[in-house]
Amino acid sequence: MHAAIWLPRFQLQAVLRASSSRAALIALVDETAAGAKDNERVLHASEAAEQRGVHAGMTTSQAQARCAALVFLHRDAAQEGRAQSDLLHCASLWTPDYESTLPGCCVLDLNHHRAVLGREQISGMKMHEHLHAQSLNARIGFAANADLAMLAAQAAQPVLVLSDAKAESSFLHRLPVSTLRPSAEKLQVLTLWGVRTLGELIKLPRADVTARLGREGMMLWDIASGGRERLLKLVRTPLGFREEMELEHSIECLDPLMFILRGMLQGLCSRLADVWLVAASMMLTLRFDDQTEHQRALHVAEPTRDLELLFRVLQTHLDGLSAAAPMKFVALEIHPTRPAGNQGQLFERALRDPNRFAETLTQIEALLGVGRVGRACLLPSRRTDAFTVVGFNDRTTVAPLIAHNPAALPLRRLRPTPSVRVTVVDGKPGSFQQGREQHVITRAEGPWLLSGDWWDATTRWDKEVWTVQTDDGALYQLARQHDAWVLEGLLG
Amino acid sequence: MNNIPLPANIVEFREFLRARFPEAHALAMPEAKPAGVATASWLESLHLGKGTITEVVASAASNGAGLLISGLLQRESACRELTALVDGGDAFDPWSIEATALERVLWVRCREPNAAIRASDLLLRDGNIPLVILDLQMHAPRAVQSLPSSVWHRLRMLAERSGTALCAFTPARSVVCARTRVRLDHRFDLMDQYQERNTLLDALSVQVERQQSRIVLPAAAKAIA
Repeated sequence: MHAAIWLPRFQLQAVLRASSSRAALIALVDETAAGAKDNERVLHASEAAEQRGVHAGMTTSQAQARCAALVFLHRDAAQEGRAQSDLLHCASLWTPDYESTLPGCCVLDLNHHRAVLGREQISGMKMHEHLHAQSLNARIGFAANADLAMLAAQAAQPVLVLSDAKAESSFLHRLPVSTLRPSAEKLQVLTLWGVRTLGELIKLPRADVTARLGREGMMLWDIASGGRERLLKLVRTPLGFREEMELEHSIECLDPLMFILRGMLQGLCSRLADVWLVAASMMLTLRFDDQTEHQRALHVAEPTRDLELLFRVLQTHLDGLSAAAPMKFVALEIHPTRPAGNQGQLFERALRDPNRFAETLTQIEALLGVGRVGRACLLPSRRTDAFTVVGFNDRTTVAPLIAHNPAALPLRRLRPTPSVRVTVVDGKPGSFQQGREQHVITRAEGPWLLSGDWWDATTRWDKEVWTVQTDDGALYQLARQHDAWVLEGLLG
Repeated sequence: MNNIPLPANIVEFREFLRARFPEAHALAMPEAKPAGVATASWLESLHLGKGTITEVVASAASNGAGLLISGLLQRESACRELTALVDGGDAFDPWSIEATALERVLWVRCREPNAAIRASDLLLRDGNIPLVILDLQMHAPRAVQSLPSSVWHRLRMLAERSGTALCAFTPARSVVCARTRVRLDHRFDLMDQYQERNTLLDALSVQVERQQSRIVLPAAAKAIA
């Protein structure tokens, strides 16, 4: 079953519901159709005006000649957009599967809505009342397919239900051909043939009609014979999960900001719930009075639409934020994703509460600074400290391109690497001084010559590495680079 | 072991506390004896009890703290466990363990003991990671010992509550409420760098003691080795 909602004289209705004019004799002029004012033509006329002989297609002077008290209004694209939007909203209240067929007309696919089936008349009246409350006069038709439903809507007063084939057939036979809105040329031909109703049209052989009137004739015949089964071009509203607010009074402290963000999150979570999605990350944008901007992507470890949890992520981030100027703009955007449905690895220990863990990491990062907490990824280089720290939940890994066999004795690094004064005896380090401490070297192993990035003059490096044992038994790693000695760390 | 019976009033007071604060005693039951290390690889059987603090004291440089940390990280990774390394002196070298093990290590790079304590506090409150290694060994003993004992008590309570094991590496005995204390006093030779890591770990000279009983097991290391 399909339903069609049709707003007769759509453009006129759209203008009238926003206009304060109470005149009964109204004609809507389509100024976009012609440039010169003399050539302006009437697009729609009110019922009272039509009774005075004014009809669509007349020039304004012709219409005024028929009815001197006629009030001319002009089309308003913005109002038409709003009226169409209200119409589609009404359709969306009944089914998610609807088509915006024409301006002022939409078709609903109600095949999967058992609540409507069998109660079409009542449902149609409810649709009519809903639109009437928004100052829109609608006609609703129900039929087996979309084309028939549209024809039924045009004949409805205000609701017409074509429940079976017999009703459809008798209904169609009585309809005038002009209901199908053929082109003027084809309508003229049909009139010359003496074809005035759809019943008379389908008495003609389809092949002959197609041969003489072409594709349009074939389509007219098909619709007149009961309509075609066609797929609706369903309206799918673009998914946008962004809320923003330009603040009238700048905010200086956290509490009012959190209040605003909570409100934004509530709306966004509700919209996510409507489409069965969850938040994978949030993009928070703050703009300050001094024209600076703070923008931060906050990842949600385990995608969710839990308001409290998302709010806590925001709060944790903002707790560690300080700004030089009051805030005047706030925007929050959620990047949605589908809820995870995969099962964890059998032998893999997963986090008990990934979201709480992500929050803890954010707190630690706020405490220690960016890049001080996470997972170490080795870089393909033999250079000291050739690694990068990535987010712990960041699964992008940088695989080392060189073989990595950890040394037996791990190096305990000294960062930043301290400079030492080394005394060389027989080509080997004999002792070194770090600050005030003097270490006598009893044994030394080396040198191991390392170098890299030789192809780039700006980044190339080379060094000479020694492992030494001092008189107190400690093992150190010394390195000489450009004739300067550094203590890279301790072994063991 | 101390077998002297406690005074009646102390026993009564303990019973009262146990009845009044059952939560505080729920996790206080001993789980395992870390001193019972008698396998070929003592590291594999080193039990870091849930909800307890294990202190590893390494008073001198190059006496095995780094080797033990690397070994623990490798062991936990092999068990598919996540481990947090709160690196109090920013001394950890990621090249010292295998790249696959790094996948399961959360590295927290600190410079000051206080920051490391706060980071550990947060991780213990969180409770998602079953083992937190707090490395303060690279700091001066005075800096670590100047931390108030209440800090360690708080960490122990948090560990108990979340069921997390905390293993603290210190340059001197500092953790007053440690369930287990291990002393490292190994001396490496320069040629040890050419040996296998497992061989070095097995040969690591350690003393495992229970703090309450003050039992030092010098033979443990020999038995292990």
